[in-house]
Formats: sequence, structure tokens, C-alpha cells
Amino acid sequence: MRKKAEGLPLYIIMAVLCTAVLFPVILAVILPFQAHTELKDTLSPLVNFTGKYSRIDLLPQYPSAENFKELLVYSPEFYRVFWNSLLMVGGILLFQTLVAVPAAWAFARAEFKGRRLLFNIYVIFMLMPFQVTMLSQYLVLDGMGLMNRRLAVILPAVFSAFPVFLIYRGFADIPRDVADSARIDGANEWQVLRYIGLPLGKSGILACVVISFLDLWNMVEQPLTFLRDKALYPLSLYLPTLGADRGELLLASAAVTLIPAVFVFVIGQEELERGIIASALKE
Amino acid sequence: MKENMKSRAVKLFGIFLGAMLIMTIVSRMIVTQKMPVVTTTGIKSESIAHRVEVGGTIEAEKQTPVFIAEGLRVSEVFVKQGSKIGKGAHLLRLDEDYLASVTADAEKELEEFMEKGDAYADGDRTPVFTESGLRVSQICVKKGDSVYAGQPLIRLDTDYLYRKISDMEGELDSQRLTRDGMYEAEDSRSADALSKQIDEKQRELDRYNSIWDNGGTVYSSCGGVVTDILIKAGDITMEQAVALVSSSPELSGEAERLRRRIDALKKAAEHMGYINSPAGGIITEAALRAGDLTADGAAFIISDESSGKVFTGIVPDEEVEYLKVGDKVSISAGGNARAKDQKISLMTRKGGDGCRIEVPVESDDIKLGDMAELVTTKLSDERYDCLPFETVTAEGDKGKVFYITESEGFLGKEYTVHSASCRIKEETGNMYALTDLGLTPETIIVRTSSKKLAEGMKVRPE
Repeated sequence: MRKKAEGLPLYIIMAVLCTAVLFPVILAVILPFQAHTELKDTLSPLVNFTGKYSRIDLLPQYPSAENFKELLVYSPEFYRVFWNSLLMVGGILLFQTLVAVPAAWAFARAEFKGRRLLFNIYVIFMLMPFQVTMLSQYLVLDGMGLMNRRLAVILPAVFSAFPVFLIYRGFADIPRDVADSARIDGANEWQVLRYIGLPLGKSGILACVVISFLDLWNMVEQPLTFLRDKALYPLSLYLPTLGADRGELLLASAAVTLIPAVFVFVIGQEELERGIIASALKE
Repeated sequence: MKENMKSRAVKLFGIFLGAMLIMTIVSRMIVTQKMPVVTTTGIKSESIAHRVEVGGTIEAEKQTPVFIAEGLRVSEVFVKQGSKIGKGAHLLRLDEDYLASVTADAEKELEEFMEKGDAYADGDRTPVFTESGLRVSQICVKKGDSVYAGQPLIRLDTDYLYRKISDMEGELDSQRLTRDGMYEAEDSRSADALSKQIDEKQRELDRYNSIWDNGGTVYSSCGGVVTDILIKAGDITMEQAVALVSSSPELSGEAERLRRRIDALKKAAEHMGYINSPAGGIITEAALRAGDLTADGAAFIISDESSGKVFTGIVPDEEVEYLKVGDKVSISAGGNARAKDQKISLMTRKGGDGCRIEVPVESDDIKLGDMAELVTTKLSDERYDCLPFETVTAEGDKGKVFYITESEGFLGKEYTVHSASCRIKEETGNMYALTDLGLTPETIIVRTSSKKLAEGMKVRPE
């Protein structure tokens, strides 16, 4: 009982911090339910730059689903960008995993000259922000004739260094003896990866998928740099084009955009936790 | 528990994606249904076919106007427009009593004018002089009288003249005695000077004696008309003309007008008030009816059919630029009467009231006196933006045009409606010729729309 009382201030502080962190998310969910006129009043200080603060009612005066109706029924372009996002993110995740898993297995298990150096180079690439490689990527993609195509966004992301690093951690955890015993039983390297590596490194792979999804779902710079046609834009670029004067549509879009990320997080939460813990414990 | 939640989340995510897929199609169908479908056209840059139409009449090339003195009452008219008449035929008859009264008034007016005003124009006049210092007893003529050379003009007071001569003779005698005395005193210089004065006075006396011999009458030195008398009875003559006589006198403007009017009135009176046609032909204009008072202009226009026909009309100022002498035009007159390819022979400015045009007409179907219309179509030198009628919302000479711009949108190519205002210069065929449109020839213009259009609306071209 005394122990519980001692921990109460900590809980209160945590609750306050949690509320502060969650506040924008709460607003993103509540504001789209405000009627058009009410929302206009709420956003007008921001739109007109009057220097006044926006007054936000957490409970809408006249709750309405009109904004969602406008978005989901009368804005076909929203679906276009939604599927663009899904296609690009899905494509990247699929091929990224296909590339990253063998690469990570090789770094974790294969013995070859310069492995350590190569891995360090991978880590250096991982640390490089996009802006550093943007121009070179642009030149390469332009040379390949891929500019203004979805592949221009997908292809560089497929060979990202971060998933290799993350999955490598999962594979490195697997005891060498397990893999060796499989080899003794006559399994080749592919079978060792398929039957030993993948089941045991699953949490690392899935954690990588979840983290990558959340990162790719919000990517802005790559599509902005490599895509010109609006018809190819993902959701992350569609939202800024709506602008504050179409705030009601913007907020509704933001709320709907949040849904896939929430689903992916809920589905992959367990693996994400496990993967992060595994990575943190090793080395 | 976690696994259960995870599988439920997977299911829900699947449902979410399925719903999004369905809504993708539904949403696009709804928006497509709401979107106006438009047909489009382009802007044509063309010259305007400007149709010129000028109303007028068919007249003879040779026309004789009949003028009648102004202000006379018409008692009877014998012809009307279109009547065929011969030379000398009666046109109308004037009211004789009214005519006589007007003539008398005019004569009286002229007489008064001759007496009081300067009825004659300045010109070649001969002055009549007499000796100065004599009294006038009578003026024998009046202004305007015709005189012959030697006709008495003025009579002088003979008693006054006699006294003047006697006084002068007495003075001469006295001066002569004085002169003789000077010679005797051998003052020849003074005597010579006095002699000169005596000679001069003697000559003056001789002239007085001459007038005395003529009975104190001053005669006209030449034949003509007395245009002015500069002295009156009782006045003392001075060293200036007493009268002016002109051998070829010219009346001043107003006097001349009155004289001509009187001549015309007298001429009409001679024919018992009948006004006869000076030429044969067709009456193409008759301005008088019984009871009217005659006016300043031509009362009748008699057209000579044998001289050829000509269309005459007034081209409004704004149409003048489209016509020039030598252009071929069509002339149509009532029914199917039409003459094609007739050449414009004359265009003369009418001081701000347009331009008089004449076109000789060679057609048996078109008759003298017909109301006719000149028609021609001209292509403008300038080229204009031309659009079909259905593309322009016209209000007077102003118009509004909807056009669409193409842009890359989230759904591919998007077409947005904009509006542009313009001025309608002309209708040409089924097109409007426009000015101030401000659009490039490549602009896509909305021709028809399935729904009412507004600025910024998204549309679907058919």
C-alpha cells in the first residue's frame, strides 16, 4: 500500500506527459468531426495569420461526419494517393525484406574476407541522411530513365541499409550450433536460412517491417524529389497540397491516413517489442 | 488474448482495405456523374464578312427639279409620284388671288428697300457734280430711276444763283479798278497777282453764268440708273457729287432676291397660276399637295427614263469604310427585282451625315422611283477571334466565354473551367467576331455543357 502511494507522483507525471504527447493525436481525431463553419472559425487564426491563438473545443458544438463524407465520397483523388502509398510501401517492404534477409544472414553467418569492413560501410550508409545521397540518387535514376515513376521511389528504398542492420541483429542471436547441426543433417545454406534462420529471426524481420512501414508511410522527401505527376503522389504529399483553406478535408484525410499505421502497429506490436529487445540485448 | 486481438486487427485491416477498394470505385463514379460533360472547340482567327445594306431610291441619271417661288398656296396638284408626263404638262395650279397678293407685297417690299437701303452693289458709278455754294430747289429723279445722258437731275434756286452772280460781278469790277490803280502807281507785281485772282474769279463767274443759261438745271452726264442722290432740296451744294449714276447697275443681294421673286411671281401669274413641267419623264418626287404652301426646295423631281437609271442613297459614316468607287454591289428593289454586279460610280461626302452613293443600274425589272436596297459583303482586312454563337453568352455588345485549362491532377489530366469576357464586334455567319478576348488561339473553348458552368469547376471533355 505504501509502495503504491510512493509511486503515485510518478504516475501523475507520466500521465501528464502522456497527455501532452497524445494531444495532437486526439486533436487529429476530434477536429474532423467539427462542422465546416465551426472548423473554419477554429482554423481562421492559422489561415489568416492574425497573431491570435486558435481556440479549440475538444467537443465539437455540432458534431458532423460531413468532412469524412466529403473526403470518402466526393474526393476520388484521396483513394488514388492512398493506393499509391500502399503500392509503394508494400512494394518496398516486400523487396526490401527479400534483399535484406539474405544480406543480413550473410553478415551474421558467412565467413568471408572484409565482412567486418563491408558491414561497417553498411552502418555508415545507414547513418547518412537522405539529403546527402539525394543528388546522386537523382542522377542514377535519371540515367536509368526511372524519373517520375513509382520505381524511382521503390528501388532506392529496397536497398536500404537499416533493415539489413536490424535483421542482422536477429540472426546474430541464433546459436551457431543450431545452424551447424542442421548442416550436419545435410541441409544446404538456403535450407538452413529457410528452416533455422527465418523462424528464429522472425521477430527481428517483423520488427523491421513494422518500423519500415511507419517510416515509409510518412516519407515525403523521396517522392517529392523523384515524382512530378500528382497522379503518382503518395498520401504524405497529398495532405500538404490541400492547404489550410481546405482544412476540413485535410484533417479528415489525416485521420484516415492514420488508420493503416495504427493497424500495422497493433498487428506487429509484439514482434516490434521483441525485435527491439533482442537488438538491445545483443552486443 | 494478444493473439486474438492481433487476428481481429488483421481482419479489420482487411475489411478496411476492402472498403477502401470499393469506395475508390464508388467515389469516382459519383464525382464523374456530378462532373459536367463539355464539348469544345478552338478559336478561329478570320476576317469578318461584313454585310453592307444601304437603302435608297432608283432615279434617272438625268433629273429636272421644278422650283416654285416660296410661300405660295397650292390650289390643285395634277400629278403624283410615278406619273408619266410630257414637257409643258400642268403640274399644279397656284391660288391666283393669293399669288396676286404675294406679288403686290413683294413689289412693295422692293420699293421700300430701294428707297431706304443701299439697294445697289458697289460697282462702276459715275458721279454728277455742280458748282459749290448753290442752293438746291428741286430733286428731279429718285434712286433707281433710269436716266439718259442730259436728263435733268437737280434744279438750283435761280434767285439765289442770280444774287450770287451779281455779287461776283460787283467784286470783279472793284478788283479791276484796284488793279488799274496799281499799274498807274507802277506797282506791276501786285497788279499781276491781282490779275490772276480776277481771272480765276472770272472763270467761276462764267460757270455760274453757264448754269444760269441752262435755267439752273444740273443734267446727268451719262445714261444709266440713278444709284444714289447725295443731296436734298434746300441744301447748299458743296465740292462733291450731287448724284451717282451707274450705266450697268447691280442690285444688292436682298434687292436682287426680291426682284427675282417678283419676276417668278409675275411669270406664274402670266400662266393663270399654272406651273408646267419643264421636261418630259416620270415624277420621282412630289413634295406638294393641294392646300400646301410652296417651300424653298424642289417641288417636283422629273426623271428622264431614257437617260438611264441610277441608285442613290446615303451610306452611314460607320459603313463608308467598306465601300469605294468601282466596287461591285447588288441592287434589289421590291419582290424579286434584282441587279447583280453593279458598279459604284460616285461617292460624295455629305458633311458629317454619311456619304451619298450612286450606282448606275442596268435592269429592266427595277423601275424609276422604286425604293431599293444596295447590298454587298466585304471581308475585313483585320483578322478577329471568331467563335460559334453557342460558345458565347452575349449581352449587348459584351460577351462571356468559358474555356478550359488542362493540368496534371491526382487523377491524371484534369480540366478546369475559367471564364473570359470580350466584346462582340460583329456576327458573321454562325460565328461571333470578338475583340479583347485575351486568349491564345490554342485555348480550348467550351462549346456546350451538360450542366451550368462556373469559374473553377472541373469538367470532363467529351
